Amino acid sequence: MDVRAQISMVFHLDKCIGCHTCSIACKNIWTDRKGAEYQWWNNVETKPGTGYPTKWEDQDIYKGGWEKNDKSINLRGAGKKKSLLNIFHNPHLPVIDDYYEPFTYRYLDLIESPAMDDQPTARPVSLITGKPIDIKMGPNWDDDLSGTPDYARKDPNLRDLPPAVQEAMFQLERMAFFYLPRICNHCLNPACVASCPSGAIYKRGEDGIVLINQQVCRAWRMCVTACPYKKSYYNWHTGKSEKCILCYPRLEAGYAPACMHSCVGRIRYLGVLLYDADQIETAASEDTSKLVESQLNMLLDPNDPEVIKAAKASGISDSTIKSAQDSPTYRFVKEWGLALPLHPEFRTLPMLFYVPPLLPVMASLGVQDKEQGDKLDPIAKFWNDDWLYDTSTDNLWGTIEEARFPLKYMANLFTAGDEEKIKDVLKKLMAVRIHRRGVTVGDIPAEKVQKALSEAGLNAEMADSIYKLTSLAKFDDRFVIPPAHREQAIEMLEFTGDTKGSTGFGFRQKPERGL
Amino acid sequence: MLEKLKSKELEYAVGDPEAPENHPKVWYIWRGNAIMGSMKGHEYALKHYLGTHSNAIAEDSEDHPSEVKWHEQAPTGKMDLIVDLNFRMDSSALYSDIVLPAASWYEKADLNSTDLHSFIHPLGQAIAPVWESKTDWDIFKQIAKATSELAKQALAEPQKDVVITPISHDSDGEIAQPSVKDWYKGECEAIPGKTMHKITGGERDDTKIYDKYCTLGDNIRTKGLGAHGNHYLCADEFDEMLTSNHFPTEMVEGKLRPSIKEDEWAANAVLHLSSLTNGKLTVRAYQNAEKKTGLVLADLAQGSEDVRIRYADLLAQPRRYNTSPLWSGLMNGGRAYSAYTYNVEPLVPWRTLTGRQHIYLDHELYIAYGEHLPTYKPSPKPEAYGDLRDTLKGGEAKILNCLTPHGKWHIHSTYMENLRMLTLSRGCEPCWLNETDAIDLGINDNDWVEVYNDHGVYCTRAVVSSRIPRGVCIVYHVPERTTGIPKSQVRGNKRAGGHNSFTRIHLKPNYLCGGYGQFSYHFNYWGPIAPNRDTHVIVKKMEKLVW
Repeated sequence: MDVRAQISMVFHLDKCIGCHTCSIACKNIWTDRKGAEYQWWNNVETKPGTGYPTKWEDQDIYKGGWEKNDKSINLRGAGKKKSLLNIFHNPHLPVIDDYYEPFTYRYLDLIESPAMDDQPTARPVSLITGKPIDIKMGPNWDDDLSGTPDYARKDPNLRDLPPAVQEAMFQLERMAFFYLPRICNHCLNPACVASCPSGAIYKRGEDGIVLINQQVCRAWRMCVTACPYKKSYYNWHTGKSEKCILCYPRLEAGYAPACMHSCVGRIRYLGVLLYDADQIETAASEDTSKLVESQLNMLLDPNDPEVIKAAKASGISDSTIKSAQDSPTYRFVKEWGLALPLHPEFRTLPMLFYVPPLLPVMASLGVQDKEQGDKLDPIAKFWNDDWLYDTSTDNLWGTIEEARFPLKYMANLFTAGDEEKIKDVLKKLMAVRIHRRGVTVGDIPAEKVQKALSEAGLNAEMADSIYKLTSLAKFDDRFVIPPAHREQAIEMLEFTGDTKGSTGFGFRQKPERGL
Repeated sequence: MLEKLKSKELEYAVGDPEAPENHPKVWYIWRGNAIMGSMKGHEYALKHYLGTHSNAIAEDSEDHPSEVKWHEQAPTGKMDLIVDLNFRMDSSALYSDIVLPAASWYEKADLNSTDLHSFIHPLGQAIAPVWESKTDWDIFKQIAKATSELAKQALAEPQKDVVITPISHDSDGEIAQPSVKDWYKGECEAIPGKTMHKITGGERDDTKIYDKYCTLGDNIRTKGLGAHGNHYLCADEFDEMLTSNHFPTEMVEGKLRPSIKEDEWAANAVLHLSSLTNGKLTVRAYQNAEKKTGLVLADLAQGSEDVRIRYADLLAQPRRYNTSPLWSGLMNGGRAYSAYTYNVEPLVPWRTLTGRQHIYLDHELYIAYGEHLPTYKPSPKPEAYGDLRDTLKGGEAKILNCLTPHGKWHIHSTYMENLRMLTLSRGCEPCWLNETDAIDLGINDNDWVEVYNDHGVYCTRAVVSSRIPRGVCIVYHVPERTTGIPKSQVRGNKRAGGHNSFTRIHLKPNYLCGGYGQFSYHFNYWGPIAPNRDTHVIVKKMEKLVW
């Protein structure tokens, strides 16, 4: 057992309102620079949709992530052998139009325009060429089902759904959509790290954050191809690749990453997970049907004395172990089994987990409710009675089966196509609601609540904890940040006595002269 | 004066609004984007108020009013001067004669509150106003000063004013008019405050505008304060502002007055004299409410007596204000604000004619319009609105019902043209179309389209979405004329406008009745407004794009 610590994330999709405050916070801090205008280390997508860069999930196009051969796995599109053969050729890279050409407006025209019969207007211009631009794509182009025929209907996750099922997803009064916020997954088996010919990308020992060393990066851009989530970006101005750094300077100071700190819906959780690094290779090489299970099996119980002993032996500090014990992500992912990795079939073992959305599921039912329909005045009945919402709990799990979002679609996102697994999670989420309705409204018989809970593998106490961490969690409940052990970092570099009194002062590098 | 009005020797300006002496000449725009955001019938306003270009093609109706004087040629360009206090180059700034650079939210002291969340927020000054900009408070103060200086030459003597005010809600007048009778037509006797507006007089000394701007006057001391049917005296608190060390004062013509010369001082004066932030006044306001209702209410102020919130407190942390009769939500014991709990729980009469909630409105005008019960009424047909009379002369076309709801990306026009938000949407405020309608119209997603009717035209890009019902299109409000608006081809290569270009004002007649409980005028609450923007348009693909 080789115990390591990973800062992991959970995003609760039922709580995301798609406001993009996270994207703005990230953009303003990290990528508001020349060459990085088009980069959104944090972005929010509407699902169904093709996202940013467009169709990033379709590895037939981009060849990202790992593929399984017999017993082991290889990078799909970039790898040492492949890149040697194609040393200056990287054919699966997304081009700028797959992201979008960043733009601004010629605002000065509003002030400097000569007198005319008409008012001036500021035309859009490219931030790359400076010339007038016809805006054809953006980082959130298919927001809220905009351009449905060109984007939502071409969502790669719809591929194996029957046409009739797909069509039903886009009918008025039956459709649903939800938001999928995305950042770097800081994977345990990161394809970007494996693909880099320069060895510029590394995973930090103390917390597992994946970083690109800007001094070492040589612009191969293999990481851009290799990352199946397309979360490594090439800066055309500096000639280096960049990616989400999980706001490590903030984390080291005890602050949550900016995207999480600013989250209006409070959907984001951050905490330490302890895992067994010996299992990485086997977990990533499992059969597709066992990938989620094998990934979760790598995560260790931070209260197990054996694990604690091994963690200490690996040099993990007590304060990090304590953080792992208090971690909200451990509870969501392991204790409650509510959070799942996004596209586990990419085999990078992502450390960002999602609680799948239940709301659009509950809001749909194809059952004719005549009794309810008869109560309505005929004048109000311009819709079909089939569409009436049913909030009764007579059929406990029926609503999940008859979801607006076909289970297959959700499974394609979170369980490599396994519908039973996604159903298990949705059942739990539903059971928590049934239980809480029993507590707060009191119109559901105790036996029925009990049945719902036990069928979902929960008990009342767990359901209350889930409710608490979902609905009422405060800042410190949502973000349990392991204290940075700066003394260890300094110790590794130099004798601490030499730097005492000088830390934070002076030049790290000698200033260049003659410029 | 009353006699002169009765004999029609003295006429109202509203009786002839087109006469040059009757229309407003100077317009200050402050804290809003009036010319695009609020201006329903934008293109008509451009023509008649501003006298600029206009894309309206509608003809005047054949029906003319009988009591308002009709001019064959409606005047254009009524305004002489438009002054805009603004920190954005928005559509209003684009049309203003003078734009005064205003401080933004982080460059001034101000208060922000509402009855919707029960907190008071400060607008703390993080940095000094940038470049030449000034706070709203300072801009108006300097305008006041310059006006007072000029008045010494132009209007040195105090002027006598006649002030006409409507019969207002929460006053005796709200039970004055059980039926709709017009004294002007001789249907009843003209009695100010009963069958007609109130007439009061006043003296105005323009040389003292600046002094009055900078200090609090005696009326607060002698008459007290209140709103929404509540009242309290506050002479002691006013005097405290003169005697304590906590408030700045100003000597005006030999008399010491509380000073509100600086924005932060004004904020502190508001906080000190409000029943929401001064516990002593909270108790007093409830005691007055007890006298009025005969109910025990002062207990609602329990625990609030010693609360004194100052601006510096708010800067440290936004505070919850006291439960007060000013608002109708009870917040005792940390309870979340919920409107009307004051009426439902301690049974304080509702501010209606009967003191109860009304679902049936026993008023002859409401009955006449079928508005006396909240029942389903179908939306008027396009013909009833007459939005497309001239547009459809060219032949048959697919008519869409155009809605302009609040956008996801902005608060009205604020942030709409922010580069970040434009980048995270479509780079413009698009027109959302149904998938099938778009096929019928030969429009693809992101095509340039013209959205137009008799009132005007908006040029933008189409968003084709399964989210939109058939027969409907949506342009979220408010687009700005400043970013990316091409020239309209259906209007002969003239720059297109915004979402208000294809709207016009529809007055709702019910809102004109008054003197009847809850249907009595109250500033910013109840009065004749233009209630909707719902309209009908043609959407056409643009073949040619001209900037």
